[in-house]
Amino acid sequence: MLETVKTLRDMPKEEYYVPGHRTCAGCGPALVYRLVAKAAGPNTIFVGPTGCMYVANTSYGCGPWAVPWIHAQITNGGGVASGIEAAYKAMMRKGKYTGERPHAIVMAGDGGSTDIGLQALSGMIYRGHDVLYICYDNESYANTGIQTSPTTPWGAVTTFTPSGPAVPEGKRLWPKDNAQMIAHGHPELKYLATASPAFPVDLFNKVRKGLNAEGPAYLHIQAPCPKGWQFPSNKTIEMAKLALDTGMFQLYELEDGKYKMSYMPKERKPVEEFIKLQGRFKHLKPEHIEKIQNFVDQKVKAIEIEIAALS
Amino acid sequence: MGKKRLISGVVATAEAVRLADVDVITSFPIRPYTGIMSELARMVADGELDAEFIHADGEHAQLSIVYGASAAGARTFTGSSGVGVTYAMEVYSPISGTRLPVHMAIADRTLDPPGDFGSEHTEAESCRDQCWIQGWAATPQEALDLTLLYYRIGEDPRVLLPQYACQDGYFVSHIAGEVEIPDEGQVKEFLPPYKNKHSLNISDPMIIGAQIEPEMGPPLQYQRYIAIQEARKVIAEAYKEFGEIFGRKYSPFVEEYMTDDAEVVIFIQGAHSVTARNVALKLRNHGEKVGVVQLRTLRPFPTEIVRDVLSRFKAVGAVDNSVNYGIAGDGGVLLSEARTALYGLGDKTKTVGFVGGLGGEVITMEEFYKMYAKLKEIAKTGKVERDSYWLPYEL
Amino acid sequence: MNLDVKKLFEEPSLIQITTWARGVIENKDARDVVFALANAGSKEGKYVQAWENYVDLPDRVGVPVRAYARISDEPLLSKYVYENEHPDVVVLTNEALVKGNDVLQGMKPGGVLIVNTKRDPEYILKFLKDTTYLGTIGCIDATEVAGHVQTLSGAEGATDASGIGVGVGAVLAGAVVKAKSIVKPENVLSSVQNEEACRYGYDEVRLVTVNTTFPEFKPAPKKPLGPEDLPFAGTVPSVDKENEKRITGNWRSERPVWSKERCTNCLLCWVNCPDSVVVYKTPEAADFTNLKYCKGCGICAEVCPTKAITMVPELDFED
Repeated sequence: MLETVKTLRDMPKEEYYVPGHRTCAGCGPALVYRLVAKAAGPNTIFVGPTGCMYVANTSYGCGPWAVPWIHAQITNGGGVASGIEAAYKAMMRKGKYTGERPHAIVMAGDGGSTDIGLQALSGMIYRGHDVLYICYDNESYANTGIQTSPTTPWGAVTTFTPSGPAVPEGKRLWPKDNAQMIAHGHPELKYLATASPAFPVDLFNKVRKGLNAEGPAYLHIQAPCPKGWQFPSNKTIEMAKLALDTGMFQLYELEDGKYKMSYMPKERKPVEEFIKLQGRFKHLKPEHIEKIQNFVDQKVKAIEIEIAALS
Repeated sequence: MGKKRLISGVVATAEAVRLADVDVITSFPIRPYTGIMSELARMVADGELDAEFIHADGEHAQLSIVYGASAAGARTFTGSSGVGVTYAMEVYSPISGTRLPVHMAIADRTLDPPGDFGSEHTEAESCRDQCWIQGWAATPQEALDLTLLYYRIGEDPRVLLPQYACQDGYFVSHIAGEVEIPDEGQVKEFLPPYKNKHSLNISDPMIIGAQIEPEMGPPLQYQRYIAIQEARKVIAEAYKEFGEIFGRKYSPFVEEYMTDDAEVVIFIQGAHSVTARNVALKLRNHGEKVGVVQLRTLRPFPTEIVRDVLSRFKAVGAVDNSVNYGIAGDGGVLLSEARTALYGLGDKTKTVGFVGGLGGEVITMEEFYKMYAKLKEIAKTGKVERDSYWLPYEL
Repeated sequence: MNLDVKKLFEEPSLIQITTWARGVIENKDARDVVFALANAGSKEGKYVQAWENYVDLPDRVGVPVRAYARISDEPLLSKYVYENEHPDVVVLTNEALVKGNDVLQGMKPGGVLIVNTKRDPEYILKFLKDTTYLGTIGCIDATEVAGHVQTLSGAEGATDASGIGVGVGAVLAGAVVKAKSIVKPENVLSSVQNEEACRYGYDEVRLVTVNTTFPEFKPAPKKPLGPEDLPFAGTVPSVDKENEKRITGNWRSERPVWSKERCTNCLLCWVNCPDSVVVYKTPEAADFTNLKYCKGCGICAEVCPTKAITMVPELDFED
């Protein structure tokens, strides 16, 4: 069992995601990776599907992990992790491996989790593999130079959703909610939570709860991206906080069939406060922002109703 | 000694998998290979085999899961047919490039469209250049033996490459024949436990599959190239030892049938080679100097052996049970590779292609008769009128 | 055959221009310099090409990236290469790039270095390790006059919707042609959006001659990696405390400076560092951060509740 902590000071000092990687200055996913590795500890195997956290971390011919790490395709993080877990199960049962069973963690981006790798994730959870699957959600295919993914917000500019006279708003689709998709319809799921680097202790503890759960667990962690969202690299934490304070992202967990909100802003801020600081939204007109505000209002309401019903 | 049973190729394959004591199996249903997995599922349910039997979410997932499992040190088994084989295409190169000796059974099926359960080698041959060991079994007995041989060859520390053990769908996979099933002691002697060279083990942590820059491309590709070169030697050794332990002796690369004084031969792989042999035997009874050269190992292609063997004949007909639209010579892979192997030897041996059995249609004895007749004509006149003939329309 | 291969493939009229920049934030500026110069060359009927360093992509915020142009009176022989191995001109869109990057590597004798900086050429020279072949250095404050343009448009070989030479790149392209007459100034002016900025660069660049005589130029031949130079299947051991194959201290344009007195040891800087470089604070801690890897993102200063951390330009430090 990995113990949960109360304060920053209770976290271990040891790092398993160490200095020396080609992630952006101010990279949200790198910060998430560091906190996940710290929480998981040395008895961990990471599976890294293609995405920023593969390419930026391992370029070139090296990597910043003190623990085992293996590449997966962007399509198959859930599959590769299933295989590792199944191998250890079989080898331990048959006496071919006698050590402690390592944790298996998938660190996949939003494309690898909610789009091209969604089937692999769903299959892994459906089959009950004891793996912690983490989606670090930076809201785009960032590694290929910022293209829209299913979690890119409506109205955001990416290189596949530019804003122009014919398409003034940029992206015209509303984002997928992967945590909700996974939470509903996977009876083998043992733990699910959303998290944010805005609350590192909460994030740390959710990783540990996910690993302690005997069976599949899913964490959806929002990870601000200075390149894709176009904000200065020192504003990563501020962006993460504003996303929560405006309701653009929400923190909750689903444990033993019960929902619990992890953070509720005392008074929700208008989404504009989040939007105005980011280059990806700078083309939006007031009517566009209003649309986003309405979407967020409805989403927040829906989650609150669900949580009230299932808590 | 083992015992004899009347079983199909799918059951024979499953028996071999059981004997190999695999740890992780990944399944997904598609005809005609499905029976292998049903058989293995039964063995697991009955307690005959202790393995994780995983219901993968598609063929791509099957290959993805065994990639992870093999990297973690497990002996793995998977398989597929037809479009299932091509659906998993993304994962073949990562598996061989990571040097994981994953084993995959392919029971051939025609690619869509239209939907067709019949056997063609097209799907498996389309994966031939992914640095997997690859060859065809022509009978259920060969299917069992090939499975054991490929685990042994692929897991050899000098090789560490994955393997496609192919069998013709329906013909081999579904028609039961007599198969001698070896006993566990023999298999233990032949097949040592799998030891992965990587470590997804926390006591010796590794980073597997890091990105590289272009200058690291040549050395890494060259490592894989050396491995498949090295496999030729290991294949020969493994077949030799297989014969000593199990008493069934195969020629590891090409099997010659009635070739001693043959003038013309059919060059072929898989189930249809059995028909070719039967036709050759009949023709021999009438004094025709014809034979069969059966290719056992398509990858690594035994270039020198094929050259030495085929160059002894006046005419060679390469029979391809696959479509390779627009390929040089308009035949198939076997024609192209036979011609490449013979390159530089002059015009002594004439080569011609026959494309047949498409969609799983039977290549009939009459068709083989026509092929031999055409080859005899070529041998006599020394003239090759066209590169290839599509059966039954062009011959 | 027994030909002198080196001589056979010589390209005496080939001019190689290399621009260094910070990834993402200055990527456009680097691209602008090389495209403006190449377009100008094209107008004069020269043979040209321009591109971004493919291995530097995908670029990350702050990572040193390079963009290249090749301009020649003769048809280009060596068209498909990854890098300019022997630049005639090197341009830095950010002064701090002189630290930790071998920007003059392979430079041809008498080469030119243009730096976007407020500082004097003499001060910049202090940071350059080997200036044997450097002929001229020029400094110009391009950011001041042209401002900063950041865009994702134009990356990965696509068209830059913001146009070529709207910002810093225009100034630097102007400075380049002042220092070395590769192409005519009027052709550069007509190749950029912001002509005024380009003219400013041409007029105001402070040029200083560094060397007038040069030892013989003998570049070492590149030795390709062999299969034995890489581990089995490219698999490498996991690291312990740091990944020394990817040192990132040279990404920093600003350095966090810590006031021990103001620090309340709250650990927010420590926990929020994406690069795991902020030292875990104890009352005895001497260093704030591991400068070998600190990318200078500034998160630590931003989250500090007591303003105990300030970001200071990296070139203020001569270490």
